[in-house]
Amino acid sequence: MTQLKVLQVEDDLDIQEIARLSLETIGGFDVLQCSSGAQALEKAQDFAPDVLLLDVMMPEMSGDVVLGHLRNLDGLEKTPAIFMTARAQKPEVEELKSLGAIDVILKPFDPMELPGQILAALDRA
Amino acid sequence: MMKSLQSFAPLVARFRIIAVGLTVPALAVVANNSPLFISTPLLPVLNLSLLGVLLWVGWRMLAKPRQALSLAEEVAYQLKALNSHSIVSITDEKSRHIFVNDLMVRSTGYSREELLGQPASLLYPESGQATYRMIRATLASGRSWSGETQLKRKDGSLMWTRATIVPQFDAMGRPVRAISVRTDITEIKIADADRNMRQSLHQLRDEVYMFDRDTLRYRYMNEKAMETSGWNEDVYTTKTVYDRHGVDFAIEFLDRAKPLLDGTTGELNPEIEIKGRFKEVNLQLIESAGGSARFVAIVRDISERRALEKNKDNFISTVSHELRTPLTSIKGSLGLVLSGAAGELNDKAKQMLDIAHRNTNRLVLIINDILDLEKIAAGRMEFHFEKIDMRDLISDAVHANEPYAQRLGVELQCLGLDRAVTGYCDSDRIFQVMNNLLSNAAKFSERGGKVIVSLSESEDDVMIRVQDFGAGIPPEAQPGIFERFTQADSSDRRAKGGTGLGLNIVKAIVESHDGTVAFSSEVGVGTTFTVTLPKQGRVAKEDTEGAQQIAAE
Repeated sequence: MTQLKVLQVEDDLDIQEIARLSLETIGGFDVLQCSSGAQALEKAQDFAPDVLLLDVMMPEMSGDVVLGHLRNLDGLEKTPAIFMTARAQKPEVEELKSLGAIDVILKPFDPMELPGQILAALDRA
Repeated sequence: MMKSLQSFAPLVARFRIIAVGLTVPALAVVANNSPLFISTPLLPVLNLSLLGVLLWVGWRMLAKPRQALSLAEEVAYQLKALNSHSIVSITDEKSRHIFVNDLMVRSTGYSREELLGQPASLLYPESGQATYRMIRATLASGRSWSGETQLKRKDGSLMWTRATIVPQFDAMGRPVRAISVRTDITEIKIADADRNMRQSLHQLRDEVYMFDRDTLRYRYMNEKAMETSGWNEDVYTTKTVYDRHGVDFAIEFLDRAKPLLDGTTGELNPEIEIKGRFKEVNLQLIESAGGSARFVAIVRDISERRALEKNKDNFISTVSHELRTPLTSIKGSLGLVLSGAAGELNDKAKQMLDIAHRNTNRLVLIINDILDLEKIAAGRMEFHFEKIDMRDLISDAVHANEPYAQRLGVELQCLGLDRAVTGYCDSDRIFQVMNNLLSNAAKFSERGGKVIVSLSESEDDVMIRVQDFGAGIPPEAQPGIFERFTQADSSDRRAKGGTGLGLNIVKAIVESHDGTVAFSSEVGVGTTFTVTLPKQGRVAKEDTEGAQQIAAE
């Protein structure tokens, strides 16, 4: 069974570490992590992810802007995207969904549940 | 003396002329028939001189009564001028009118007959009776009175006058008459009031506009409005709303003003954006005396307030983000270690890490609660009201709490879910309420016990009851049950978990729905919480003033 390829863009290195453990060890996913939108734009096409996991609040380029740029890359126009954010007010969640994300996962997330949440979101989409 | 002379003057004058006229010929006849008659050339001269002297004397005598006549004419002339300008009346010792001039008749609307013989107080309105009495008292003391009074016309309308009233006395010093001379100053008063109002309006920080209903032409702008529009009085009176904001704006304005135009509502308070500034408008339609209707718009710039609110929003959002980010790492890493992802753990280590993990969860909940309360207190909690079948909400909440209840060995039961019950609420927030009540109920139940959730309705309300059969709330703890961090049962609470904020938030949310939350409890028997939500509910509002109050307490 081919591994699910997850491209995560997250600026907090600690969260990156936890997410990687969660996604690789528990989820069994193939994970590429980038610390910024710029980095992601460089590496995304070569990696050819199945799903994008994007932090929203990042310096320089926020997650929604990153998504916009990624969508312009060949092969990534329709890649499912999931936002991760600590900004959890309902209107903000709605707004993120309206930007084309299939789901919004709130922080703090449960590393035990994260892989399951991603799969569930992909199922629903 | 002058008076008697005046009356006989015309007769005396005629007598004198006749006398003179007779004297001359008489003298001439005497002179002709007398023996002294001298046929000299001087006789005609003598006759003429005599005639001249007699005429001169006669003329002088005639002149005197003529002088007396022009004085009367003089007074009559002055009276005429007075009567054209002033309202004049004379009252007797009992204050009854004995003379009223034409202007008085015209101004008051009464006929002469209606005024004569009537007391002057007839013309004073209710509010002016005290002034009237004061005037009479002043006159009785021998002094003239001067001041402003309001008079009531026959048709009931009021007019303002400036009056001077002068008393007259007889030889014994008793008041005999009083003469009132008044000027109608109603127009001046109106102009004054108008000017005062305009001055006040000019000092307002808000822009004030008045424009015709039909043409949308500006009739009035206060200082602030003139400043904002850049038009002074000479200019704005020639301009319309179309000129100022364009046709599209004007069309939309008329559309939005429809409820005012058709009388559905008396006042509108739209918020508009003009050139990047946010404005709050109070708009009314007034009918003015002449029958022309005008819009009155008071416009307040709320751009700064908006910016401040946005900052508050950002702050709350930012704080929540900043707190939750490190918590993500703490909770995440602990969770992973506990799951064995980092290797086998000895019991002691597991125990310690369990404590740490549990408390990070608590921390997350506390942060959520604090941020909720902050939102409510700042009036920034948004509610999205909708009609829903309450059964779904209840069963969802019960379902969500079942794992927790099971862990505690408590059974959750539902009643009243057989029929549809339509409520009007923010389902997420009421879910939050249910969560809180259910988790509390389970928490304070004994192992093996049960919690009953029942849904019912009356004509106007929906009622949700959460009943537990646990320890109950001791009487001394009951008054403060909805307050924050109530200490009554703190040891118990800490042992059983909880933030101490839950019921405070529950109350705030329920009251934002115009509902109520109440409880009854008995130690050793159990506790029942009842949430009552009106079916009509309030129209969805963005702010939460009522909840603000509770949160602030």
